[in-house]
Amino acid sequence: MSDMAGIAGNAVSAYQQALTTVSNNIANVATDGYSRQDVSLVALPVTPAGSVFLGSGVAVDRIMRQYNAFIESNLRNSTSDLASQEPMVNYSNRVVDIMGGQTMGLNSALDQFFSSARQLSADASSTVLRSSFVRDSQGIADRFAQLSSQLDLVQAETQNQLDSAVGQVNTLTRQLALVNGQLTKQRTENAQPSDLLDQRDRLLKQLSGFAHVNTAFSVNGTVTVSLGPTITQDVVVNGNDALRIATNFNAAAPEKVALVLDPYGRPSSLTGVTSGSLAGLMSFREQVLGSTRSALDSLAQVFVKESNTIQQQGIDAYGQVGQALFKLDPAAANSAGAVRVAFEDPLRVAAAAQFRVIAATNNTSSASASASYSAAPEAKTGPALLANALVNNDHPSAARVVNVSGSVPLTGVAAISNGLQDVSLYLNDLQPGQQLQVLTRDGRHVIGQSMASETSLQGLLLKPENGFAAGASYSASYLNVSGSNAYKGMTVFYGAQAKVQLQPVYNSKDEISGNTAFPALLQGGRLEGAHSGIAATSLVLNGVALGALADPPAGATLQAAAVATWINTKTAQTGVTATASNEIRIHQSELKFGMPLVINGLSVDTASATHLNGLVNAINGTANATFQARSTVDGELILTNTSGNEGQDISIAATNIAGSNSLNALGQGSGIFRAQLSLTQALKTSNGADVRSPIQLGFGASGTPSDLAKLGFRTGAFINGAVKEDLLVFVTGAGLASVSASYAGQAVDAKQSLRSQPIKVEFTSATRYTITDINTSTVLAERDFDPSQLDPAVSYQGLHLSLTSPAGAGDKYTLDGNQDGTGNNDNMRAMAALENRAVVGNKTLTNSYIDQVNEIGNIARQASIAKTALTVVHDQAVQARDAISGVSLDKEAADLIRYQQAYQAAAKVLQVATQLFDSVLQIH
Amino acid sequence: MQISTNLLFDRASSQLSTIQNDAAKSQAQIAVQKQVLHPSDAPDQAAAITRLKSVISRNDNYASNQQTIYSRVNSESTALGSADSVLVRIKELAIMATTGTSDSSTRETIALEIQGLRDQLLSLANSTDTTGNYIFSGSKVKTPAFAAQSNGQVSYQGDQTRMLVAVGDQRSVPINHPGSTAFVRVVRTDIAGTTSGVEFFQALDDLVGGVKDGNTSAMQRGLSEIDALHEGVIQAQAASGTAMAVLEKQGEILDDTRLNLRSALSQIEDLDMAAAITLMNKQLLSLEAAQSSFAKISQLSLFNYLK
Repeated sequence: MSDMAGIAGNAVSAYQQALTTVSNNIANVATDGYSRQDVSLVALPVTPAGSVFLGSGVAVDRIMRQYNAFIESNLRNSTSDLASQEPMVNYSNRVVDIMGGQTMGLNSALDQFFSSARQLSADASSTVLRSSFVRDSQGIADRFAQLSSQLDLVQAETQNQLDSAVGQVNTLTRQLALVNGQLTKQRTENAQPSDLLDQRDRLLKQLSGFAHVNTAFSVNGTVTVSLGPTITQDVVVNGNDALRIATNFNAAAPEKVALVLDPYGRPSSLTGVTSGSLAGLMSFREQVLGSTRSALDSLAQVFVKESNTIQQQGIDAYGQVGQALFKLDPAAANSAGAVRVAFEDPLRVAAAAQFRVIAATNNTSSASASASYSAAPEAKTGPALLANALVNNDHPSAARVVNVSGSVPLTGVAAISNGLQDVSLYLNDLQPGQQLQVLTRDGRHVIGQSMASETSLQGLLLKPENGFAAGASYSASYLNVSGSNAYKGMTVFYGAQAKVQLQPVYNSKDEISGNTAFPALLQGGRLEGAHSGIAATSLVLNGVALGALADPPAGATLQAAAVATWINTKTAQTGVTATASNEIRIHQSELKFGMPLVINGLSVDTASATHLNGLVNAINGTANATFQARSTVDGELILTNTSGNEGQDISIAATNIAGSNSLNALGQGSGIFRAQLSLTQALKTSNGADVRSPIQLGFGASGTPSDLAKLGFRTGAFINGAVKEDLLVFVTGAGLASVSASYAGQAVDAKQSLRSQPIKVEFTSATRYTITDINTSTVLAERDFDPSQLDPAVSYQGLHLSLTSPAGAGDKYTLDGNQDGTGNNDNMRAMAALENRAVVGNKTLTNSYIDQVNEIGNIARQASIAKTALTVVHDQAVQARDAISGVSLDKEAADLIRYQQAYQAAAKVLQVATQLFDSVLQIH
Repeated sequence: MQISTNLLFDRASSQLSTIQNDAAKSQAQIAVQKQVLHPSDAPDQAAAITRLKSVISRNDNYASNQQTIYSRVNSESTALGSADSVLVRIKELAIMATTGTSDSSTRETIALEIQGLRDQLLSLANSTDTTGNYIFSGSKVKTPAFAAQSNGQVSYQGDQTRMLVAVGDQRSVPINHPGSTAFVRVVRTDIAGTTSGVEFFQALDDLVGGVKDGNTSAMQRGLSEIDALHEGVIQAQAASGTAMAVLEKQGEILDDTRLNLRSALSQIEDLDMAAAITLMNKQLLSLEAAQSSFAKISQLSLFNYLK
């Protein structure tokens, strides 16, 4: 018989377990991650009792954990997605509130700055307004710094948050590994304790808040976790092992952050983190913080550059050119935080224009005049700048070939910039009639051969396309003139020049204490071999006319010795001594040992000369020779004339047969090597001081560069000391020539140069005016004036003088650098106008800033919308999970009643069974 | 579908806090009477507000500049008006001196008076504005416009700069007349036929000398020159009168512009109080409803019936 008491006992025990489970559910109603447990009851096997089967009661089959893997995974994914929007929304909003705030944003400071500029422009001489302007400049510098430091704060905060998130991820993965360790004790998931699985799922859910996780579960419930796009990439939990992750901040771009997997083991970059708060923080820093920061920095740079440019175009209250208003502190980490006001003195605010005009008090016309400046158009035309046109090396090998056509016999070579020092230009390999000409842009001929009588050449030359100012006229008044009557006091020379050589002397502290002077030496090249002499009025040495040099005998060429003698007849006046010499240097590598050699018609026995010294000995062994050879340690053979024959030509050939050009032992072509001249000038002292005047071999009335070339000298145009104005260099005369140049110094700003050189515009008649440099009284330009033009104006190198009505004869206007026009507000108006100028792309400063803030605002808005949508998804996932795994107290209460009643019933059965048993026992 | 107890409470609390946040925002908006509390609430609107505020600040600036300039041009105009009447008197005196009836003592008196009037003109030409700047010196505002040079002649010392000040985005007005265009030169032709410019005060001094000496030709020349001098002053006066009229007109334009801008700003920045209060009441009502309904629902539990 199936045991009634047994069945009751089983049932009581089963319902006790069921009640315990319900109690546990009730107790854990508020426990995070708890999955409701359900009791599964099972009927015990039936036992046969005769022909029937009797049940044997109930037992608890198992306690089931209410759980759905798909829903859990769904919840984790939605948690990751939602968490990734959170930092984007919060921090972007914060950045927008910082940047776009009425008081905190840049706009109010910009408005204040421009407002001050505008007020100052209404009364430029007011020191009070100038102080306000400096104060508000300070204000905007401070505002840039404040915004930058606020962004720094956000950056530091998100960095901390990233670090802490990474720390928590590492803790969670370690805990998961421990849970996995516990789970390995059972074979199947059903056999696992519920709380262990709950813990596993809770850890996974927490982890998914930081980053999207890929999971794979094994039969016994152990989990493999990866942070990468697939389960096999970037695995952080595998069985009992957990890999750490770490952040890597980029010093160069601090907003960029990279994640590293296993930083202390085998580091690899972790790029697959796409959602979760880690990804949200990273994308905030890159998309919002980085771009905001760089936009603010570039705005600061543009603002500083533009306002400094304007300030530097003006004149401050001291009459000086404005200095930069702002500077960028190089020690600061970024531009916005680096803006500083460069000065505090309000008088240094450059409110005034750089030029102004003053009419002479006795002008007859009532024209009122004004001055303005814009870069001169002619500076963009004509020859290229010297630095671009020629290399800074005056050796003929560095020269540029100039081909002058016959029809337009002039070619522009270079434009010498104002401010260069010690410019030397050489005309090499010239054709007869060619000249080097240096002119100003207004046709003042400074160096060269006068073109006063060549009006057609002037016409061809003085054109705007050659770099000349419109209406320029030719003048030779300053041609080759140095000293007090020179063009702007420049020192110039045309001809061949050699300076006293100065070598610096260093003192014990390695400072240059002085210079040692060496005599000037003008070394000529080999003579041309001309068949004629020099005319009487051709050449002038150190200001002394040299007279005529006789033609050489018919058929003969000009000999260096004869030239030297001719020059030395004037040594007493010129102080210059000429010597003739002939020296041929041949490196031994060029020598052809064993080849025949004939020098000056004398055969040299080269048969046994197989090395350098052998050839030297062979040459020196030649009878009746007027030449001699020696060798140097460098392996050179030097062939010269013997004493008493200096300056004679040396001819070299292989044979005495005229016209033969067969190979000779010296390896040179057959021909005549002509002698060279060198001119020296002893150092002179006057009153104990060195006189350092150069040797200057220039031209008389009829001399030309080809006369100098006959003597082996190169013609040059020399400017000793500073160049005071832009000069144009031309070669005139048809044919090929080459030009080389050397120079020192730097070009100066044309505008500043104009400021320091006030000019006077004087109307010599109603239709013609001259422009005079006031400092040197140099007449800079003479031009025609058209009194009928609508807006009468005069332009000189970019400086414009506008007149309201045509000037009268004798009227004078002075244009100067505005040293004392304290009331002038021109530049401050330009500063105020910066507010409306499109300087950032095609936007104004203010609009560019507002747009940037707006853009971040839009990013935040998008994130916010995404967050709302994802919240709904997440809520649904939570609801779905709770529908299965959540505890409902009402349901538990029902279960409680149900199991309680069953328990009571089972207890009653037991009681009945006991009574039955007792009944049996009472049978006597 | 089963609603777990936890979920019931979580949902209720999050919904309550959402309504509460909305109500708090409405309350804050009402407190400051602004639509946008933080730029992040409405970035586009905040940007528009900032832009408008910049433009308003600029126009306020133009208005204040307009007032500054007006007072300066006014000083100029006043000085030129006085110079005008002084010149009229000088002309009367000069005519009196040239009539044959004047004897040397009368001419002496006349010369004395013209001399006095000429000094008065000099002080008018050297007028300063409220900040002590010389009005007629061009940009050399710290230098008197006219002063005696070493040769005794009174010459113009300023420059020819005419300064412009912006009183609108597209509008700049000149704020000064160089003294040499108001107190003009006259062109004098000497016996040889050469012409030269003679400065304003030199011409007057020559007239005084002529009257003193009884030099008829000098007096006649002076008389004709006074017309030219007067003409110059009148023209300058007319110009500054025009400038004042332009400035007044510009002032009106600026007032209009600023009013328009302010009302545009008000529309996007200020809060519609009636709508906002209605909204807040609605929010409070729904908050109360949510609270009381939650209280009711949360009381329902099977456990209440387990006695």
